[in-house]
Amino acid sequence: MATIFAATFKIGLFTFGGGLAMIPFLQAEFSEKRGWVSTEELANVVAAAQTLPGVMAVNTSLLTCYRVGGAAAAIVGTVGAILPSFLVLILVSVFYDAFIGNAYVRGALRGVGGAVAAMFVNTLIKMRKTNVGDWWAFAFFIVAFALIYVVPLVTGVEINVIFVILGAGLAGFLIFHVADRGRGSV
Amino acid sequence: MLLLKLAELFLIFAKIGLFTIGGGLAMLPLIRQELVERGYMTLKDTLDMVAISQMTPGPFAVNAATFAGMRMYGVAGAAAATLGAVLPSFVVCLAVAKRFFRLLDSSPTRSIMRGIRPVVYALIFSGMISISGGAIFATDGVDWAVLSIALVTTLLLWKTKISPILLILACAAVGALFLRGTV
Repeated sequence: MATIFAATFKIGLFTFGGGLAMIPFLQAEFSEKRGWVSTEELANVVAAAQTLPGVMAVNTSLLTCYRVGGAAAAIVGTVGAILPSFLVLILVSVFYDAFIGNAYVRGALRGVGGAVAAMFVNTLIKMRKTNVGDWWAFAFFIVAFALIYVVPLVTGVEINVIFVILGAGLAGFLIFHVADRGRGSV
Repeated sequence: MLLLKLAELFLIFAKIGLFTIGGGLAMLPLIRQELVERGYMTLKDTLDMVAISQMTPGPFAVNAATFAGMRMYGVAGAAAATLGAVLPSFVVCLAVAKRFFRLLDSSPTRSIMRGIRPVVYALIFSGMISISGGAIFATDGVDWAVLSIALVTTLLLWKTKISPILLILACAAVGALFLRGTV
């Protein structure tokens, strides 16, 4: 248990950029160094972690540790993975409050603002094929974007994002599952 | 009174955590709706939150929740927000851990996800417009310096294997050195 905690704590401390960035670390610590999970199991965990709702990094460490030692290990490992971010961010927030007026910090944040924009663009480039790969997906994207961004901008009526997600899930179920099944049985 | 506020913060982040599918950046439109439009945070705070969360280790969602909670109600707020953000993942994953492979492979789940994936894309897309649009197209005109940084960094991220964290630190350094004058 202590080993699991130490391993995920280390991973949490040195992973920048969220769920996907922690995979190489999990591979090294859990698979290569200790032989707790196979590479293939890890790949399945990643797929599941991305599909399931919630924070991907939490999903990933939880499912991996569950494989290693059941529910108790899952809880210990996940707390280990989260704790470093939590502690670092509390420190950073205190520090941030004191230095937000500092010209260097303001300049740095302006520079990072550019980097964040680049990150958005890069994420969109990477996800294009899996998320808007065919015409159906593109249609879903257009409707979702209109509901999330254009409608509030034009009419001032805010549509809750959660309803858009649930609606898309339902539409996906009806169009891709029920319709395909209907066609199959005819 | 504070306890009520903390409970509210916990619930807000539980909602954000539950409906975040596919990574932290997809959280942003939800954060905007739940926190900015209800007056808990300003859009500027959100931009700083994104920048800081990207620059610090750990999952984006946990960083963002800790930072937001800390800014609103101190350490207690940070704990409430982080617990909220993490709890849905905890519950869902523990519930499905035993048979998650089968669940993932079932055709209804795949159909539902096929509908949701483009929405995730739309979420990230509108997150980009509201967050980065605010950073680059300020009220007094285009911030050419930030726009140039964004373009160069995009190319480097896309075409090279330089680590994103190095690029963020480099952008922070460039900003600290050259962008101090005008705010």
